[in-house]
Amino acid sequence: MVERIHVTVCCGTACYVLGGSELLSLVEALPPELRARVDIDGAPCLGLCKGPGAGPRPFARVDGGIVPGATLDALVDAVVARAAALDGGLPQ
Amino acid sequence: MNPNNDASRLRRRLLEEVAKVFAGLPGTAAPSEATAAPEYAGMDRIPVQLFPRGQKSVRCCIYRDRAIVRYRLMAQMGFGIEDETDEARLLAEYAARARARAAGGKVEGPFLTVLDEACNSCLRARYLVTNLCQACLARPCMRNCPKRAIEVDRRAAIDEEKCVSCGLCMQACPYHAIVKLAVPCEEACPVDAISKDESGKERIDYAKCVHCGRCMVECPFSAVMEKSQMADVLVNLAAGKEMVAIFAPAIAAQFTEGLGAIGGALAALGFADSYEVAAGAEITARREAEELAKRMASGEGMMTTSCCPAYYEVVRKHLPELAPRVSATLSPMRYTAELAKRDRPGALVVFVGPCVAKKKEAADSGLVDYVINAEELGAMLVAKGVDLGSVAPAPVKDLAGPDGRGFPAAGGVANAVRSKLSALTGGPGDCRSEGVNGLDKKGVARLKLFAQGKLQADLLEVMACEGGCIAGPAILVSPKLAASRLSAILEDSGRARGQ
Repeated sequence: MVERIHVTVCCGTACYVLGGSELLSLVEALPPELRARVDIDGAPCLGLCKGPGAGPRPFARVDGGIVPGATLDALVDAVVARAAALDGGLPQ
Repeated sequence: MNPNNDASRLRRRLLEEVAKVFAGLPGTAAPSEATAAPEYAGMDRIPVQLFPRGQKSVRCCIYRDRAIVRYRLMAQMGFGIEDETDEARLLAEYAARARARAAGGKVEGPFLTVLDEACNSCLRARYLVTNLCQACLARPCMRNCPKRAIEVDRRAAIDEEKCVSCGLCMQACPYHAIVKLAVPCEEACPVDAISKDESGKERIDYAKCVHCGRCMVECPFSAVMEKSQMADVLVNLAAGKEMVAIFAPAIAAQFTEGLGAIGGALAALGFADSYEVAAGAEITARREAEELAKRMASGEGMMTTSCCPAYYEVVRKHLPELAPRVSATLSPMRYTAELAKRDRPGALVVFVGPCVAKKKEAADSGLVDYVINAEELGAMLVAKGVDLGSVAPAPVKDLAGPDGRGFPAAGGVANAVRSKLSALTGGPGDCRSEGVNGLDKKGVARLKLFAQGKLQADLLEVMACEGGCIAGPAILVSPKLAASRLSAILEDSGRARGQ
């Protein structure tokens, strides 16, 4: 059984205006073999931009992992890495 | 270029910092003399904050990055780089001047400025033979050149004196050995208003410029910037002035949360009321339909739409023969400003849109006090911590129907005029309707054909931006995304009307 990957894009205004709006179209940017495996949704402000030392916006989450300064490319990389980690952990 | 790229991200981050400085100012009367006061000191920290020591530089070094940021901040406070008289003037002093200006003055046009320090001095546009050239026997480049500008001696060489940049040699070369060196801003300008000065830096000829903003969008170094009026708006909001926001239908398509949230966000920024400019668009469409019906009945010939201010500037400066064809109807911005002034005669009216040319139109109209764009609205929201997802919704006044809300997509204005024509005549609203979708160089050439009567129509819709205002020069989301939002908005408003 292939484990699904869950991507949450922060749709708070602060992320949205710095390019977060692009991230919901992630599915088109994914490698074809991963498309059916990834669930993508937008969430209200995740609060990740608050506080000193917060990374650059926009933010997204790939399963538990936070992706700061998210671009489509960075998210695709994070999803591919997550898929490899999940698959590597499974018995052949 | 996609509106979300590294250059736009930097520009938006800087706007946020500017907005924070101006939003934090105490709301007292402006000082009579512009002086650098401690509350503006934050301005001079921004270049260092963005490019601290040790940070990877974008250009040759962080010091150059900082120097360019300084000029960006000047433009974002409403100052033209061309007008700089003292290189050592602190940003804090510009901030003080911006604040003094907000009390009664205006950011003066022209509204586009070139940051000569940021300009890459791109190589002059021309065709160039690369070392992929095989000096082949067939010599298609030579044989296809209509000006006999190519000689081949071990490699093809183009005689710059004779070359007319037609590109036929490039098309003919089977090795793809000939390339076009482009200067993006010059290529984007529909009216040849931007060109190199003797030092190789780009300069705008404001006598020709139509404020379409294409050079600003296409420069990969973001060396062309708008002179922002955001500081003036923030200072007046902070001073508690009565202000009203009127937002373009393209702005509604930038966000996902709906009109109530936009109204709520504008209220949270301090605007007393907000109006959708789509309401004014309903009036524009109705009056244009009446005008069109008259023109068609009297055989006066083609009428063009009038709502695109960059198009209007093209007519005024470059195609005056088309002026009698332009509808005399005012733009949605002006009708909406009239609605706003009717309700609150003393209020300052702020137009929020995706457009640079609206600044010129607003300045000429005397009806609209300030214009800010989608990026500036975004920066103000972030600076003041307003989140559209959680803000308390507030009503928007004078709601429009799908005709008015459909204005910002190519074809939308003509659709609305035909719909109103149909309502007016009780018939199907038939007329020969054509469009010029995008005033790039080709679009201007097509427009000329209509001006000369070689192409004909009853109604000609002209949009300076290809795709319409949702593809304007100062937007937050890709036109594709905005188009899908707009369809959803139109579906909803159609449904609401049907009930």
